[in-house]
Amino acid sequence: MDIFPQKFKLLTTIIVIAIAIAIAFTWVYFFQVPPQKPTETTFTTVTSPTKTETKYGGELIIANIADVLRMDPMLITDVPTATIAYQIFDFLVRYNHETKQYEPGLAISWGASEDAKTWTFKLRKGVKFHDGTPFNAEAVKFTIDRVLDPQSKSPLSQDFRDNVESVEVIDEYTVVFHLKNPLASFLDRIIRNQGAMIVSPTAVKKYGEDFSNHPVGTGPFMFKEWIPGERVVLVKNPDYWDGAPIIDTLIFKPMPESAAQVAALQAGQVDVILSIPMESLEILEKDPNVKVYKMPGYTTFGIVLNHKSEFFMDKRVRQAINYAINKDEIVNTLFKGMGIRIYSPLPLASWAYSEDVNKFEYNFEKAKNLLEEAGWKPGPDGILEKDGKKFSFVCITQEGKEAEDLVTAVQNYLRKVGIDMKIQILEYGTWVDMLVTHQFDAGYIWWAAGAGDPDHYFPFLFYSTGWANCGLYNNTEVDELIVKVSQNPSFEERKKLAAEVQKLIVDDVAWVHFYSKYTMVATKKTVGGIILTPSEGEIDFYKSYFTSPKGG
Amino acid sequence: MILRYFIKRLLYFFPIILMVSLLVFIMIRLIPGDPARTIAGIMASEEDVERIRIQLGLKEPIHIQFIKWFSNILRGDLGISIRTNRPVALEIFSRLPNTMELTIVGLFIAIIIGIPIGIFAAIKRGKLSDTLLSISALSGVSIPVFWMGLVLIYIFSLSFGILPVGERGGPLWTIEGLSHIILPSITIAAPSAGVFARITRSSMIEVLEQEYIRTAKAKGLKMNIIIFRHCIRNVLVQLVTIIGMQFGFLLGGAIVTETVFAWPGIGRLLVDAIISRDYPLVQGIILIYSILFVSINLFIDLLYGIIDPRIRYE
Repeated sequence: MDIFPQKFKLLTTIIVIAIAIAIAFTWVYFFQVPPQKPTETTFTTVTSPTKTETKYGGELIIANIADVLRMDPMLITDVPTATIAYQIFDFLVRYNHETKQYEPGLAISWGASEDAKTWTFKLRKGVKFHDGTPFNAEAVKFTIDRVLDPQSKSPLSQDFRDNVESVEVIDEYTVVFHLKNPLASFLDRIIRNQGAMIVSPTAVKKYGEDFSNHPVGTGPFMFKEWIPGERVVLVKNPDYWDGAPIIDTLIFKPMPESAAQVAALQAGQVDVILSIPMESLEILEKDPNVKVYKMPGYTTFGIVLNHKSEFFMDKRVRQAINYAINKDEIVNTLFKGMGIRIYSPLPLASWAYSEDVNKFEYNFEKAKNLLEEAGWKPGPDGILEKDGKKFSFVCITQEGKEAEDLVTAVQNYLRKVGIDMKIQILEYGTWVDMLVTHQFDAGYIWWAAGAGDPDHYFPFLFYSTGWANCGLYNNTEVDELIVKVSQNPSFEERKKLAAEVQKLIVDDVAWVHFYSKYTMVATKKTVGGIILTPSEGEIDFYKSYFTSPKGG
Repeated sequence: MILRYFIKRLLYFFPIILMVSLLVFIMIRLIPGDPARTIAGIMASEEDVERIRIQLGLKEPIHIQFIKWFSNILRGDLGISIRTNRPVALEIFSRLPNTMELTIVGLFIAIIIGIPIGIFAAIKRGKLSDTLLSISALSGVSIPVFWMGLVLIYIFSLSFGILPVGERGGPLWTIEGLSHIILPSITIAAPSAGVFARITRSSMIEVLEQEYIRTAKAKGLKMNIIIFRHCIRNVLVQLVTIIGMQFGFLLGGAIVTETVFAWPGIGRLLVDAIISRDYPLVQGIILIYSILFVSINLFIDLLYGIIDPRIRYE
């Protein structure tokens, strides 16, 4: 029986649809998390004694490339979250990137024993965590112990345990670190490692695992709230030991599309952007309303050759490849303004960077000669051949314009000497996986560290059993030198030894080296006091201010 | 009659959800790489990664993992996101309404733009206006969403400075909210509007050629009445299917739009979850998506039954 007479059909349909939409909307708004309206801005004005410039506080809106993940410092492995953590927590020791000196942080003085195995720190008195509890030696021990704990969920755990034996509380403001081996880079490797960002023991005990969402430290800004996908809000710590920040509130907004970030900055919607896409760099540098900060970073980009690969076992072949690629040309055209040409595995910003190495300047003839010496002769199609085998291999790379541009340029240069390099573009996780399991002939590779100390590079990348030694590079002399660099207490000695290491690594062609990237941020021209560092993500806002009241 | 029809469709619901979940569960584990490496970060050693794998329960046999996960689902527990340590349900439901809002508004715009264009083009078929309209419909479908979004930002936010660059501004009924949703919803609506226009046009043309229409014309009925009373209802069946399907696509396609406009939705969440192999989050999102998708299709089927009596009697 047809219970729907003709004329009601259309009506019914419309009513049903209307009801459905109404239900959908009601449900949508029932679950809606209302976005926070910008908080009422109360201006803090500080007149600087030396300049007549008035510094204004207010809300600083920062565009981040991704939303924050876990804010527990020992669990952080991504840059966007690290940037936020730098505002909430402090280290025992600070580092001034201009003077390249260590400065007091939560510790006012420190010293090492003769053998560099025992480090004593005198702590700053009167410092409080954001939850009001006092900062003292117990807090330091608690922080480090939770990373050393074998049950710890922190990926830094193994590295800490390999180096630190124990932490001892001498008195309320004195703490001693006992190391397993002499570690000259202790301050960088452990003390300024995010695992050593001092956390409030009270807060950790109170929140347990949820501490990741309620971070409490001693830093210049305190965590206020997180609306997923929308913003992380930090408010200034008025009792900060280094003076209360001028800026009242930091708002981190995730904006995954860099082009949209640039547009937002130019339109005045955000005050700071933390990642500048290559294409937009020029536009921003020319924009009179925008300031761009640049600094050579602690990063190094190159191509790693697998020393166990049938193609690259021969040193002559590796050197030939190096001569065959015009690296100067590639860096100066493709990465202009963004990358600095380097000749060794260490970044330019590192105090140990040495150019006393074989620069492998572009030399087509030399490349061809070396290849011929190694037994590779051009086949009928122009591709080199040896014992019936073609010189054809695959270079793996992660996806992304920067990586793909580089390997494509390399492919072109190699083709000219008769080498057929194929490119395999992989998704990030897969690429990392294949690199560390040595499933490649050649691969795009890069490394970033929080400091320029060679200990952040050599032991992982070039020590024969280093876990990031993707190319299975093995040189006993280099191994011995790497250990010496790590343990020698004299700064000058370490510099010399590091230079030797670089000379050997480059000559052996563990990697083909290209460039070091600038760390960059761009801000509205009314924003001042940004402290940029060569460490990706480590940007300090505690001295930031506006030069005119917000709204300008 | 309708009830029996409805129940029959409902019975398919559960097996479909189960199959989709199983498929996703397996597929994401087949891709090389796992969440342990993501959590550990680039600086961690292989031992650290292995230790984290065990902690995450990834070393257990795969069918045990699935049974554990699914039985939790049945109890309403979607698990904990590996990357953020927060409940998957929280991650999803704090963002899902935003995506739904964008999708619904986008769909609405696509309907009110696309269908009239299709009708008009059908009426004027063969003439210049038809050609022009058809070309615009085709462009809507062909223009990359990504490009269009950025161009719209450039024109309206930078050059004219009248609309904001991205993010969500508030509930729809506020000026703030409206100004923030205009650009992203137009961007997301464009391809769908194009599809609706083309389908409407071809359906309408088919219907307009029918005998009974000529009869109506001969009877002396005015064109408007012919269109609205007779044609549209017959076109409705096809349209309703397409709208339902487009809703599903829009949910998934919102990913690009959300990225460009920094819209706090679930699309971006899914992409990031897959890239970092956040298994519980990926499985949770796909589960919700498939429930939504199946529900929408069920609803469409129901509408069918109302609109077209012939189908009900199958």
